[in-house]
Amino acid sequence: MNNKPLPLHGVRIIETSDILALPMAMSILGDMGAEIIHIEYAQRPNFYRFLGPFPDGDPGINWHDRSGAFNGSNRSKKSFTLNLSEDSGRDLFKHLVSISDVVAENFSARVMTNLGLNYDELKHVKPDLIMLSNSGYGHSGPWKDYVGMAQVIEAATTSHLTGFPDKTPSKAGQSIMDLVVAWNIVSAITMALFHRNKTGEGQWIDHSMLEACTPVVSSPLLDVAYNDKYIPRNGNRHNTFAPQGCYPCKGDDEWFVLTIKTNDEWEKLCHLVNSESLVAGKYPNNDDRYTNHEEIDNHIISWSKKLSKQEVVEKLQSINIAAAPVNNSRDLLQDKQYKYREFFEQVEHYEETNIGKRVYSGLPFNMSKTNGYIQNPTAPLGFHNSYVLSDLLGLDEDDILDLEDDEVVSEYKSGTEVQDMRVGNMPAGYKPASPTNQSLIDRGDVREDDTNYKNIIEKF
Amino acid sequence: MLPLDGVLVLEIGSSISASYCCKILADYGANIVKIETIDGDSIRNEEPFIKDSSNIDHSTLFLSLNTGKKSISVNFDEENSIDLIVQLAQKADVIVDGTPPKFLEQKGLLFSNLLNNNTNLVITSITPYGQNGPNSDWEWSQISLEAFGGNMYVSGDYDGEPMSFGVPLFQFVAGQVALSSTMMALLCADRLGGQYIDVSISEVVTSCIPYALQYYTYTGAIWGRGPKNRLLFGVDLWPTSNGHVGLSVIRSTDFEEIAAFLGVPEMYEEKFSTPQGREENYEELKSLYLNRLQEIDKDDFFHEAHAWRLMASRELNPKELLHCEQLIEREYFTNVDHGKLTGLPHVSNVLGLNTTKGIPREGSPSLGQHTEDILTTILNIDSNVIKDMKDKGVIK
Repeated sequence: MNNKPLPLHGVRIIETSDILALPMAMSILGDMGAEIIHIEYAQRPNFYRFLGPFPDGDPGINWHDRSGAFNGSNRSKKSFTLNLSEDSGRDLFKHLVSISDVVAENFSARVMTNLGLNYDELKHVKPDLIMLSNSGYGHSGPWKDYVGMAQVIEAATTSHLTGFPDKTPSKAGQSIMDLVVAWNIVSAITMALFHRNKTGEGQWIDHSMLEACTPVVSSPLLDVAYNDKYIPRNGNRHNTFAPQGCYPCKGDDEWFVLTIKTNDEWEKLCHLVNSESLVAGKYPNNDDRYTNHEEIDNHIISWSKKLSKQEVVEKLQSINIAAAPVNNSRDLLQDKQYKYREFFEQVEHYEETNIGKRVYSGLPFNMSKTNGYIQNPTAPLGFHNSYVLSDLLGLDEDDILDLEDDEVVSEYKSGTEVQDMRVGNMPAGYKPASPTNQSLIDRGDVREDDTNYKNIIEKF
Repeated sequence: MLPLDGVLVLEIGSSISASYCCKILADYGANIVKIETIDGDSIRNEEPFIKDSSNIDHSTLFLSLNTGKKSISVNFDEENSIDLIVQLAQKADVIVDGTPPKFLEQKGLLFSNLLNNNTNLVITSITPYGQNGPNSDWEWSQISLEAFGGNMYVSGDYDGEPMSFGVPLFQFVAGQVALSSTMMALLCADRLGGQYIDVSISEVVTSCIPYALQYYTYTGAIWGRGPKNRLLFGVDLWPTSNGHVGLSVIRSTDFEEIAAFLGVPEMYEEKFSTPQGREENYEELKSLYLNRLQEIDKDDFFHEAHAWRLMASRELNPKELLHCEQLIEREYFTNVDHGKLTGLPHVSNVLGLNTTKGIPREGSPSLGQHTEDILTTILNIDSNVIKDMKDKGVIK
């Protein structure tokens, strides 16, 4: 921690959330200086706490604090355990709201209303409150009670246009729509804060995942609205230029991509590949190249398979052709561009988690005066209970013990005490599954088990 | 009153990210001056097109990204044009720059000078690899950034090539990142003054795959494109009689619910009752599932699965999405006229603000449509001077 000014210093946000999109948005706001009070109840924890990956494959007795999926999206926050199904829990929540700026939640539409904690209730406690409710489809309309996750939203928006023409509609990558939603949430909250600072007016943000992600396909939507057609999915090819594709290189599962946009680039490519069969004069214009894409692809492959992806890309970039290696996670962590820009951040986790040093993506932008960074690693569950209860809410030790006895607040436990802790519906002593890297390779999820990885992340 | 009423933003460059960022700023009230070259934003020439009654081509991508903006067209090779931009920058609150690194600098527009002359100015640049570092001048394309950033390596089938999105998704995310960081800078501009923001699209891509990265930094496993067997009850989509759907097992009891919902008695058999059993008997389960799906209509499937509180996906093509009852009921699409093209549907209130809704108010501008208007109203330049600049090719 340093004392550099950050844009959101002085802004306090109460978060109750699950899965990835909202937690990630809150971490971004936390990186930028907001104080995020992350409320969970130990018996209803975030699903990502069970997911792993666990450090070196070992969940440990305090597994709920050791999941990489959870820790990757809950940094820069304070952890507070509160049971909202108890009257006194809801009273504490309201008290906390009265001294905060923003509430962000992603329960399904009826939950906050049933708890008596929706925006109409909470604005009585804090008139200029900003409250964001994130749901799959928004809190009105025929689908307001439908559950939505990233994969469901991706199916409804981009999947039809992603993938190869002869195969099924596809999803790309991992829960990408959660990140689209997360950034939209960050924009929504900062926009509402800007408005409140100017006018004194708070508001409710009825944030719909579907509505956050639909702009990505706004061009096809106009095409279909006016022309009654749209460009179908096209694998890795460009819709206009040829060739474009993803081609194998020397080695196991090594690839690169390139895009040729002009005749001049095409000539340079042919000269570089220097094959008798791939001559610039054969297909001098783009239309011919598109028609003969497959033949051209085969020539590119016979050239690229003899070279490493770094060699191929270096050669292509040296003649100003758009090309890049297909990087895997290890490539990214060792990449020179990212090292130069200090994109990744190494974090020393809280000692009691026994996680040690790990590396996470930083923010994908630099600011000249107020650069954000990870304020603290993901806190153990309930780690900030005493800060919230005594420092913020002014309760004394006896009050706090009563709240723990009444199961309104789950007691923070560390060391061997954690063994007695019940997390979720699981009995004390439960451990989630942690598949070995070899079993993941056998299943096909994982390509390689790099036993040297610790050297790479320690050296950061 | 909208949040950004009275905020003046200059948009420069041909960039989906910069244009999307400024489109949302415009929806929420900002006055956007889109500074184009004499030839215009190159996105104006991107397929697909809509033809208006006078047979002029309009790019659907351009139309969708530029609602509510004003266009001024200047010659970036003329010193007088650069001087106009400098003068506009003195009046502006924000510049969103989608030009390649060093492009504006080479034209004589130094960010440090602009920030010195206007101490509260926020400048946000969006570039493929960021403003500095060994790759900052790399040639790029949409697919090259997806590949470099790591998303392609984990996308596609186990035995197939890495796969890209096919839509410019990450350009939009970079636009959201630019919007978020610009808003943060505006929030502290009164307190700390203006500043410069440097957004890297490849870093945006990488920040979208936390799970794969954490797998490596926690266990050394390099996550790929798997599993070998496409997931029957996970993220993958499967064919019904009229389109593709998916169901996800998240909680341990979900599979039983799915079996009940599908009404396939064989799926209750003991051998399918655990995740391991389902994996061991994958082919048999797959054939039971896919045979059942062949009898099903994807729309009925989607709504009925939700009635069962199951996590159900349904593929929508662009036409179906445009007619999605949920979006229509929530008035998500707003009809906007673009000159002779009338009533085109545009997304609105994308951020979901309930009191200050951001709705596109006007169509996308034709090239240089507002040149005179901007020079007169913002810079108070005399109409004779404007005419002279037009004659000399400084502006269009």
